[in-house]
Amino acid sequence: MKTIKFKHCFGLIFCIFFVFFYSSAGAQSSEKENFCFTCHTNAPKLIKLTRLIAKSKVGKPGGSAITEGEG
Amino acid sequence: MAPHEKIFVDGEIAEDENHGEIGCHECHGGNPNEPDWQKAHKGVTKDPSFPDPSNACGACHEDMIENYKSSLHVSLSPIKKMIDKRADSNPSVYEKINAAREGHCNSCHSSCGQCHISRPESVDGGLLEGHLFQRKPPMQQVCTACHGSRIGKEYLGKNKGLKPDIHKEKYFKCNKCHTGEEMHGDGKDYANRYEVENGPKCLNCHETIYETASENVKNHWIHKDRVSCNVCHSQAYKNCYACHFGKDEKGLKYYKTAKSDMQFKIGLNPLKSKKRPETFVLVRHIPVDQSSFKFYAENGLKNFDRLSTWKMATPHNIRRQTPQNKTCNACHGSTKLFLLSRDVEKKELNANKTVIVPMDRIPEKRRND
Repeated sequence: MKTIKFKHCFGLIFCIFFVFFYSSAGAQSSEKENFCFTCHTNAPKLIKLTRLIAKSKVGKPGGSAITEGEG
Repeated sequence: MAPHEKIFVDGEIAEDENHGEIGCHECHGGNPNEPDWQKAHKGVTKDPSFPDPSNACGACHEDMIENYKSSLHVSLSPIKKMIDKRADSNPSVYEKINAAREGHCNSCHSSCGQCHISRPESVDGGLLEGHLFQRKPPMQQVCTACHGSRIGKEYLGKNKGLKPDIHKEKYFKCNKCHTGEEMHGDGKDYANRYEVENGPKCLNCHETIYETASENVKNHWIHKDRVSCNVCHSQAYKNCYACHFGKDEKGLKYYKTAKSDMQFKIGLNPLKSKKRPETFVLVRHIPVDQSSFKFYAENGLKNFDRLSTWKMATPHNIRRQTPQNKTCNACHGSTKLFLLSRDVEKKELNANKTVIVPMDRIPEKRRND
């Protein structure tokens, strides 16, 4: 009888742990390991970087100025 | 879109049960463990689904990408076919024409990613909803972002004095008629989009118009297989003329169209077939000219007259009632609605001889209107 109760308690604790901690642990690990994710989900960082990139492109031609009309 | 918005990824993607487990680098390459962004981006592929989606999308969506090569949004095959038909077959000239087509015309394509994940590159890209996968591509950010100057303006009612398409007022998005099956290709190499077997047909929804109890059944029967639905139910639409392209002094690609105007012209059906048996269809002037490729090859389109410059059109501004269907004689005998030789530039008369309506083929005015 005692063995069965112990098994039940252990199972219950495991389930609670799994439900509450699994998803956040997964997200944390992906944030820690994956710099693509940490950078591309960080809007202020992206603003800084895209401004930096834009500065480096100053003077470089974009599209042709003589394009005109619809099509 | 602001530059940072274009590349911002919504953290919610980690919760996506289908795609959240896939590491960024598995599709895009690069080094996710490198903190220096410049080094991390070495070898990164912006759109891993173009030109070949087999390793990215196809790894799971095998059935979806099976026929991707025949998707007109990927292959642009009708454009090549039309240019080839008009081009000088002399290999040295054709080579120049083909290179120009690849450099200019082929930049307007799409891919799995450029419909379901980002806006198309031809309209400067930018992630949709922070890279959250869009099962149905959003109409105004994807479809009409490219198909904007004609289809988009027609459908949304942005042409001055004209109403939007009735289907827009019923909250239809493009994909209601243009299904995924049509977009994804079916393995067949079509000569034009009107041949696509799973393309939209009015009768798919309006299947009762020929039934006795149906409203206007008499008119629908009288005109069946003689006149396309658009002839009665479209409004005026945009026509573009003489696109020229090349490279400016800085080496940048340019495109110039001579003019565009709003017209409504009924022509003879240039694509008459069992599937499209109508005698009369709407025709739209497309932005082509014999000297379109002049920058690359003088008289490169030597066989220009092999195809018409007024092409079959299906304007997306459908209304139940239009100026031309108010009465019989609003159309019958109304010469201004038909594409006559006087409406066609002299240099294009020969090219359009199959679509120009001879005066004696214009339906006569009816006595009891």
